[in-house]
Amino acid sequence: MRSKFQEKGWKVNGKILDDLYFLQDIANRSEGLQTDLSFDQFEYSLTTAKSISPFLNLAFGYLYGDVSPFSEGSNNEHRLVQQITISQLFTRTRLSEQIRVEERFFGRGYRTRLRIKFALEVPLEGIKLDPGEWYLVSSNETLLDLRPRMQRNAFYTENRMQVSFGKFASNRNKTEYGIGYHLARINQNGLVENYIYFRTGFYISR
Amino acid sequence: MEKYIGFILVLLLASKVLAQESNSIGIKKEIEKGIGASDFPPAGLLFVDAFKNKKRLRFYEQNTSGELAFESKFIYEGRKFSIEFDTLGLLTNVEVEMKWEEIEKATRRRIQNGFDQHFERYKLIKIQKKWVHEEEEDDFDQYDIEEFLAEFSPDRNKLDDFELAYEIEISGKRLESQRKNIR
Repeated sequence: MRSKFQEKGWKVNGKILDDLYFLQDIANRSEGLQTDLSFDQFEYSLTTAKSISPFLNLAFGYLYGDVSPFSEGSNNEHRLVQQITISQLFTRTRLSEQIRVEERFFGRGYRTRLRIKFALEVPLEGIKLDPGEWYLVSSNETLLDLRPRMQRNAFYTENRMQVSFGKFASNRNKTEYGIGYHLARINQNGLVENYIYFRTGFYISR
Repeated sequence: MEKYIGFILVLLLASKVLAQESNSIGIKKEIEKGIGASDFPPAGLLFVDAFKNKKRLRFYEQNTSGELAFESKFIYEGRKFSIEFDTLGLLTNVEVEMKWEEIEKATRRRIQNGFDQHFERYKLIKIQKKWVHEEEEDDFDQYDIEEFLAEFSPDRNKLDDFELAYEIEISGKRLESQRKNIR
């Protein structure tokens, strides 16, 4: 039974992401005090999306994020998301570009950023991606801090590269397992930190 | 320009209580005055003398929130050292200037989280590794200079009877909600 909402071409997309970061702490380990440290970064999001054409998709949504790196208690955020996805299917490969604006609300302050992601998706079983089949997706994402110059550490703050294996279970859900390389400019000195993370993502669409 | 305040932040990251301490940021007020070697506590001078081939040796009297201390600064093996003594010339802490990249990655991340939670943006000015003498020790005044030097190296993360901390000086803009609280 399709609702009026669906008849007009709108979809509801849900997403659960877990990024797991590992950081080695050699000094502590040699003292036998602590093993390597890790932290989880969870994201739950709900978006409504509409395909304007086979190449263009619009989406608006809400995201709840929860990070608890090392500290007691969590550091959660509420986020509003607006995005445009342009995609083109070549014989096997789908190339897509996603432009996304995010308004992020933390317990302590507000941040807004622009994310530009290029992704390449290749089916691993056959020429076309059918339900029940695996695919490979790699992406590169640039994150820009849109707050005024006087408030941000840098304009180009982060870059994330990611390679994932995904299982396209059905038109309604898919699961992805990936590894990512995350570069972040953390302060005004321009110091860049790099992190490797493991991502598990579960996506549903109705 | 009152929004841009320079802060000296002390992040006590004692290796034993890392997780709990990660968000403890204290604010310190320090007044320093240059003095001559003759005004420096003799026991302290003796200790400083043990660092051979040091350069640019200076002595200071320091007043931290009403508490008097003496500090000697010099360059030893290419690194900036600052050694603090109490009024009797007993060693209280050793500071060595270092680079951000020299801090353990996991510790860096904790420090960064602390700053992110308190500041909109910030700039690192100075980073020091700091060994603070655990004052509850009874044999506090029994330290052996030779032994200390033998054991001590700027790369060490652990030193007997001392607790490791990082002192990081930054200039930053506090988050709105925080600024209201401190006024």
